[in-house]
Amino acid sequence: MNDALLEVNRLSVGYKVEDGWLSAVHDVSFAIRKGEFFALVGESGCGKSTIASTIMRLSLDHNERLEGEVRFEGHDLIRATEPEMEAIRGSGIGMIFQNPLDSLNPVYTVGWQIDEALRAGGMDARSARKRTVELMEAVQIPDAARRANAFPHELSGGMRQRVMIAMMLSRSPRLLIADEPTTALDVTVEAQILEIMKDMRDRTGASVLMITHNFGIVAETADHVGIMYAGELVECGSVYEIFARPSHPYSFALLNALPRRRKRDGRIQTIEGTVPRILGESRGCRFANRCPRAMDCCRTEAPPRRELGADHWMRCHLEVNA
Amino acid sequence: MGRYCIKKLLQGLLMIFTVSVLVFLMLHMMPGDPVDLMMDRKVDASKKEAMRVQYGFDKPLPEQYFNWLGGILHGDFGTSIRMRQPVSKLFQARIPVTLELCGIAMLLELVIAVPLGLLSAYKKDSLFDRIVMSLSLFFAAIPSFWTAVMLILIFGVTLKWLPISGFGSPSNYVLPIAAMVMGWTASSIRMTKTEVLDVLREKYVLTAYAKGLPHRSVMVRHVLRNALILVTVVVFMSIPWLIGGAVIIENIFVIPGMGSLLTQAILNQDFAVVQACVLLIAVLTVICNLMSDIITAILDPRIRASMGGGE
Repeated sequence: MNDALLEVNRLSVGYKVEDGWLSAVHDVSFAIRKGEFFALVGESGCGKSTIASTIMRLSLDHNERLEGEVRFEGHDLIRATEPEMEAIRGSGIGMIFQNPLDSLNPVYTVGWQIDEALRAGGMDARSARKRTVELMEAVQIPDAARRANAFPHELSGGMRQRVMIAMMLSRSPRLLIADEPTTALDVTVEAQILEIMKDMRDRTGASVLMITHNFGIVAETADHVGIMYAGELVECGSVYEIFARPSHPYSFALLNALPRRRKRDGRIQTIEGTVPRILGESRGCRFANRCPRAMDCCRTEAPPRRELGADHWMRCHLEVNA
Repeated sequence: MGRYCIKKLLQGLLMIFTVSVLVFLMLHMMPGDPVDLMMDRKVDASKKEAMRVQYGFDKPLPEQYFNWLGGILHGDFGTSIRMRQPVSKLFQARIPVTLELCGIAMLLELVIAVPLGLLSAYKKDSLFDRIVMSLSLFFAAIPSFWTAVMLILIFGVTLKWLPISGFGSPSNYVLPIAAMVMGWTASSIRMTKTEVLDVLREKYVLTAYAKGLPHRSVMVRHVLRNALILVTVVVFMSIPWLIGGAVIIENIFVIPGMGSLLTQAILNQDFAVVQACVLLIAVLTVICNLMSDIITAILDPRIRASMGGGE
């Protein structure tokens, strides 16, 4: 894994709640290579956004507990000081958020907000504005020079997300984290935004960590996929492997729940039950109570990691059929 | 933006007009005849009648009202029947005193409340925050007249550090301003904190951090800047209340400002003075509202846009 840009090793995130520690992320490990498009997939509340904000160390919650390490170009971000993180944010790692409608400050023009990012990197005001317009043109904002003087509320959601992308790419980060960047947008706009992101990756060589619950987006963009369930990474592999051979019962069920794979009666296949809330230490497999193939040992023993091929593994008690 | 201001101004004028009618009517509904108050009971009835005519009390109420209003438009607020002086002259001496008192109080309030509120929000649940919050709850709950009396008792009577009444040297300012500021500052701190906490939860704060801004820039340019929109509104809206508070404080500390003038006038049924004072407070309230609307519009482009004026 010498070409890994980001390595997440045995990361656990817990939040202190009234009745104990809520385990949001548990023992998650994965790596993103340079130039790779990595998708983290899972249902709402499975901890994928927590991983994103933990990498950026953006949690303002003082009641959290972090374990494990997040190595970005060799530096452990979990143990980084705030000034060190300030140096990494923006220039090393950029991040796009779910809802472009409230991720821009309503009282400043969008151009000013991109300028601000550039100026934080030491650029003077005049060259910053010139670069801002170039960046806005690069994300296909028409009439960029004029739009730079628009306030966020004067732009559509798709335009605002383009502004966010332009802003986050302004200092050429090596990694771009996109936390459900298109969830709040129309499907047609979604396609454009994804196209822009892929294009950016190809041109700049930056890696992308895409967080989504949408397998359509995964199929369109990702090279590598990690599937999360209740705070754990249950299966990880290349996008071809995952779609061709989903092996963990949860991955299998999740892919079966896609609307295009219907049962004969036209109903959408669902997974029974809901994602559990894990308090304190949990034994066994977190999916056991919903798993159609659960065995006795699933409830008592943590599932082992099983290699399924080059770069494809899962955490499950089931034997791998060779 | 221009049209918006004119609309607000017209609304304000309507408000002032309504207040003036109400004040006028209420005073005339009160029991007691002002002429009786001015003169001894033994004075001849015909002389009283002449007095009534001289001050215009014999005319029908609407006419009295419009005469009064017309006078004001020419800068004539009427004549105090007690002090036998034009009200405008009384105002000239009294308004600066109250303005000075309230101005200093407001400035102090801002200078103390905004930083403390910001710090409390940022260091939420810390020891600092807890101390500030408990103290501010304590002070916000105490009425200013009680604070004033306690301050007099402690610093004036027991310790004898500061004068307890009058108005002349800077040391006279300390206790009344302290009494006014305490309660207001306490509630402003809490309000600033709440607003800053709200802004801290906004996604654009995360964006600001994510683009690599240092902590201080995020706090000043994104958090404080946006929190100030509401804080400004509340501060401007609090000015009329501050002046209302000054009425009590001026009386306790025997300060010759508008507040003491108003209370005296009410006790003496000095119609012209009461009317003018209340009208002045109404005008002030309207101006403060207008100012806060305009400032909000300047600070928040979304409001500017919804006003229809565009850029």
